[in-house]
Amino acid sequence: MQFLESISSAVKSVLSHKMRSFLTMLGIIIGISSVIMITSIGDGVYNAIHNEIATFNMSTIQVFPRNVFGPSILTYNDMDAIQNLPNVNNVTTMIESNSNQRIQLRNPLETRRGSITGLDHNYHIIENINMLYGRFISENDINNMARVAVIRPEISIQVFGFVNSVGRTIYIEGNLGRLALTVVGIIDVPLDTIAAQSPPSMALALVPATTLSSLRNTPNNIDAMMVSMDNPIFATETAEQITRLLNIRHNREDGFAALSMTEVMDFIEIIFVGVTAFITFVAGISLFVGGVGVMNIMMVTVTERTREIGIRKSLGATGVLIRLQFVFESIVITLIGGILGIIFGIGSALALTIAVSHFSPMEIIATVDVTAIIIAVVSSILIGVIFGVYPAGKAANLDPVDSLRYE
Amino acid sequence: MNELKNKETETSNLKTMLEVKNLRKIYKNGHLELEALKGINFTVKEKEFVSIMGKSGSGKSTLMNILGCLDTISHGEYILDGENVAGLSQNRLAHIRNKKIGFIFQSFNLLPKLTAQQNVELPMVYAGVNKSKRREAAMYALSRVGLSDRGHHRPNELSGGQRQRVAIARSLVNSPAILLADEPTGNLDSRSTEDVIAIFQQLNNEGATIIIVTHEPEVSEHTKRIITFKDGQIVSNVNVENQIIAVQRNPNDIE
Repeated sequence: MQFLESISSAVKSVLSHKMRSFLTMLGIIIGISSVIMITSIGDGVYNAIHNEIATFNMSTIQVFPRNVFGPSILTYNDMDAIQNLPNVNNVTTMIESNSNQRIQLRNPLETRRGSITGLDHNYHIIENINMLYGRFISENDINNMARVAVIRPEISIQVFGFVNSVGRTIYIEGNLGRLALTVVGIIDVPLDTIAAQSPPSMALALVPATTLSSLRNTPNNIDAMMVSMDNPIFATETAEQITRLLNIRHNREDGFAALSMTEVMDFIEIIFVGVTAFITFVAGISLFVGGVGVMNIMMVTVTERTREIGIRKSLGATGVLIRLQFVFESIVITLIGGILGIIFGIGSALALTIAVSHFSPMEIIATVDVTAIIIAVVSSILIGVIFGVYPAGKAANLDPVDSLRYE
Repeated sequence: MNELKNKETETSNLKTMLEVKNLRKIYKNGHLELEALKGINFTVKEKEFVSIMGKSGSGKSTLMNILGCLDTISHGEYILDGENVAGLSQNRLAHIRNKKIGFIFQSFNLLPKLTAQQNVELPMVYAGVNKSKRREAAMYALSRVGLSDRGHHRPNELSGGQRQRVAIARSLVNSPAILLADEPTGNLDSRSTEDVIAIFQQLNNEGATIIIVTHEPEVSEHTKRIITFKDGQIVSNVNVENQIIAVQRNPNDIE
């Protein structure tokens, strides 16, 4: 009963100084809202990335030289060697020209700038590329270094004015010279996924890898490989075997990286855990500072209300009740601050993700974690208790005679 | 003559409300010692109306704080309503203040944020009385001091005399053993002083035991016994021959 009285009198007291209480809460509001905002956005981004990656083929390993600058040392022969390793199902390559190639558009005065990507016939097996019209790059194209191209519907429309341009010729000019390429297929590009930013979806044209490498005057070299596995469970072992084989073949200590998608996932997860831990630490500091602010104001409040405390004691309030009253006031401040922080944090997370989604191909939806809210509420209460106990104790131990005399 | 004799026997049969035996209070400040009370002895019985007089520094405020269980005793005994208060814990003292003592202060000591009604309820909150009983008792107490219609006013909306009457109502609600009033008219004009004293006399007639600390003879003349202090000692303890009866104004005339 007296417990409830203390709570309601604490709420009244806090509400009677609205401005002061709000300013006192500010530290808590900022601390809690930043944690809620960051975790909500973080969870949203994590979920978005997770969903995107889930659409990728989890049984692939990306292989590339560690030194990404300068000419690549990987070769077609390396591909053949890796093909013979256990658990390797398929090996495909990806080569990219520089992005200064220009494709001639329908209007004779207009060109569009971009890169050409060289792929082989295995690529669409690994990456699940669907054709709208025509066919993908074939083994024949690879062997003959054929001057053929697979393009996106968007490019076809810009060049020809319609989607199905199979059989037509496109012209691309750049450091590789002037190329005339026969369109053999139109690919179906997923529009709203990370895959939309992968080379096949960005390039002006996809050509046989061998065609591009011979045009670059390094006919044997490739930039990177993608290896698909029979059994993704052994991804780590297979990746190790690939790097070991490549290091031996090229006589390097640690010249190559082989990343499986599961490793990429783990890596992303580690980064998120790290970022979350760091933000929580920073928020912890701001909550500590906020708590000290609460304590400071509580000390001032106790001093200001010395006479009130004296009166209450003279009327029979025990030290315990006085202590409870001030601890409750402290909790009311931090709890209201925490709740405002949660609301503000969720609001700004939603607003930010909606804004970002306008500019990003990924759809990020801020995800509000119930656990985070519970932790926020509990920690607000704890801060109230921790930083309220000392001022409340000071109030409880005031001498009744002195405090009644206090002006 | 007969009547007076009857009255005396009646008095001797009454219960002792408060007894102080060889009470001493020593303040220590480093090596300095100040003996504020130098062995006080007196008794107050049920239904008595006593005034304690003395100049400032005479020790009467110290005695007031001790009688109100706000301060502790250095030596001696203080028996309040049959319980020796000396050496009790702060918690127990808070309890005694709540149940057995009704304070009335010079500066009223009402909580400014609470209404008159809520101020009057406060001792009952600490006594653990439930809300509806509190409301009822507070309204009754306010009616006893003629403020039935001011329950929802805050102290700053009331005159000095009204505030002191709210404080008196507050002192009554837990039916204490004694009412302790410390210069209750010190901040009041003469008209309000008369009202407040009239209320004390009325309460005393209804059976309340009252101790008033004052330095004003005009106030002590209205009580039944005067104990006078000087330098921490009692110099006189006499019954008032002709107690003056204060006349309370009709509540409707009170501002």
